[in-house]
Amino acid sequence: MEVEYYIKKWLAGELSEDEKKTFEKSSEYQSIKKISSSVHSFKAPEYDVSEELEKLRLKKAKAAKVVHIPWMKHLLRTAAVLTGILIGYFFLYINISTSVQTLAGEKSQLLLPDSSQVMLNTLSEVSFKERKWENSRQVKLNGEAFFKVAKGSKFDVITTSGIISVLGTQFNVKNRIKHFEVICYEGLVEIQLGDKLVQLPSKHSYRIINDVISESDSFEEQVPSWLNNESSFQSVPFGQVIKEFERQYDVTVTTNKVNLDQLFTGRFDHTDQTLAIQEITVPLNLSYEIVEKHHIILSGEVD
Amino acid sequence: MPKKSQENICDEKLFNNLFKKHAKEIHDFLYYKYGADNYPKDLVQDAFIKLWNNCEKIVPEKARSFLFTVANNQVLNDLSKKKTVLKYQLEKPKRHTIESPEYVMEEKEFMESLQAAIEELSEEQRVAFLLNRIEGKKHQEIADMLGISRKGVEKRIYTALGILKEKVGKI
Repeated sequence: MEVEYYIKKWLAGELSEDEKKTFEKSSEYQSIKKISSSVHSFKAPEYDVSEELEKLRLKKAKAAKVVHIPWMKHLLRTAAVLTGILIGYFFLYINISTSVQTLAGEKSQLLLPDSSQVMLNTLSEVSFKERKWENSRQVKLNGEAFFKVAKGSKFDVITTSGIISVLGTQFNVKNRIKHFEVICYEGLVEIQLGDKLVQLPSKHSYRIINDVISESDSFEEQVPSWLNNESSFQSVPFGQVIKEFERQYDVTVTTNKVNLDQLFTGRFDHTDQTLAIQEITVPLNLSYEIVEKHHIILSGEVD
Repeated sequence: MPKKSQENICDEKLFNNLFKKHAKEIHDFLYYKYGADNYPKDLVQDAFIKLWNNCEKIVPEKARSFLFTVANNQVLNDLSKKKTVLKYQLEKPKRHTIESPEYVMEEKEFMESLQAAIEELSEEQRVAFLLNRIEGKKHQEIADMLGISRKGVEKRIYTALGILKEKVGKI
C-alpha cells in the first residue's frame, strides 16, 4: 500500500523533502489537497482567553458565595432530619419484641430464630428481640417454660427472680409467685440471682419456694412432666400445688381447714379434671366439692 | 514555570495560569468533537469550576487530564446533547478576483457537502482529523488528548480523510 503509506506520512508531517515532491505530483494528492485546504474554513471560532477567564472569575465568586452555601445548609438540614428519623426508626425496629403467651389451661411451643425450642406451660409468656437475636440470645420469661437450646453463643433467660445462662442444653424454668425453680436436664446452666451465681450441672435442680432454697440431684425424668400433660411435685408446699392446679384447669380453688404449707410429693393429670382432683386430695385425706364450673372447694377433715 | 507537586490548584494565581494554558485547547477540542451547538465555551467554564471545587484533591500535573475528562463527560451526560454543527467561514474574497458565478456556486456547493461530510464523521474521527489539519497538532499530542495510542490517532485521521474524499470527491 504505497499510497496509504504516503498519505499517512503526509498527514503526520513526516515525509522527507524528496518524498513530499513525489507525493505532490501524484493524482492522490490533488484529490485531498482541496479537502485539506478547505477544511481550514471550519476552524474553531476565536476563543478570547482573558474574557473567558474574567467570566470564570465571576462564576467562581458566585459559586462560592451565593449558590454553594445555601445548598450545603439545606442539604445538611435535610441530612440531619433524615438521620434523626433513621436512627429513631432503627431503634424502634430493632427493639420490637416478639412475644408468645399462653392462657390458663393452654400450652404452646415455639422456635427461636436459632432453632432453639421453647415449650411454654400454661399461663406463661416469653418474649425476645428477633432483630437483635444474633448479638444476644435473650428471652424474657414469665411463668414456666422448657428450653432446648441450640448450640451457639450465650443464651440468657431473664426472669424476675434471676437470669439463667447456658451455652446449649435442655432445662426447665419455673418462675411463679413465691416459686422459682430451674431444672437442668442436659449440659450446664448458670443461674444469676442478684449478685449470687449458681452453677447447675445436668440432672440437678435448684428451687426457691417461699424464700427457702433447696437443691436436688435425684430425678429420672428426661423432660419436664408437664410436657407429658401432668404436673409432678417433689416436696412442694401444697399451696403451690393448688396454684398450679388452678392454672392448668382455669379454676378457682378455695380451701377450708387445709394446711397449705404441708409438703406434697406426687403428680396430677392435665387432661381429666376429676381424676386430677382425686390425685391431689386423696393422699392428703381431703374432700372436694365442685361448686360451679370454675369453683372448687377443698376441705380438710374436721376432727 | 517549574512545577512542584506541593503547589495547590486552590492558589488563585496557579489556577488562572492553568486556565490560560489549557482553556483554548480544551475549547477547540470540544468544538471539533461536538460542534458549536453544544456550547463549548460553557463547557470549558463548567470544567474549570469543577476543577476549582475540587482543587484540594487534584495535583497540578493531573489538572489537564482532569479538565479534558470532565468536559468530555459533561457532554456525554447531557441528555439534550445536540448534533454536531460546525460553522465555516468562507475565506474573504480576494479584492480583485474575477470569479465567475459558476465558480462561486460550485465553491458553495463544495463547502456545503464538505460540511455535511465532516459532521457525519464519528466524533472520534472528526476531532482527531480537525485537530491535525486545522490546529496542526502532532499525532502524539492528539493521542494524549484523547487518551489513545498514536497509532489509533493515525488510523482515525486516515480513515476520516478517506471518508471525506469519498463523499465530496465526486463533485
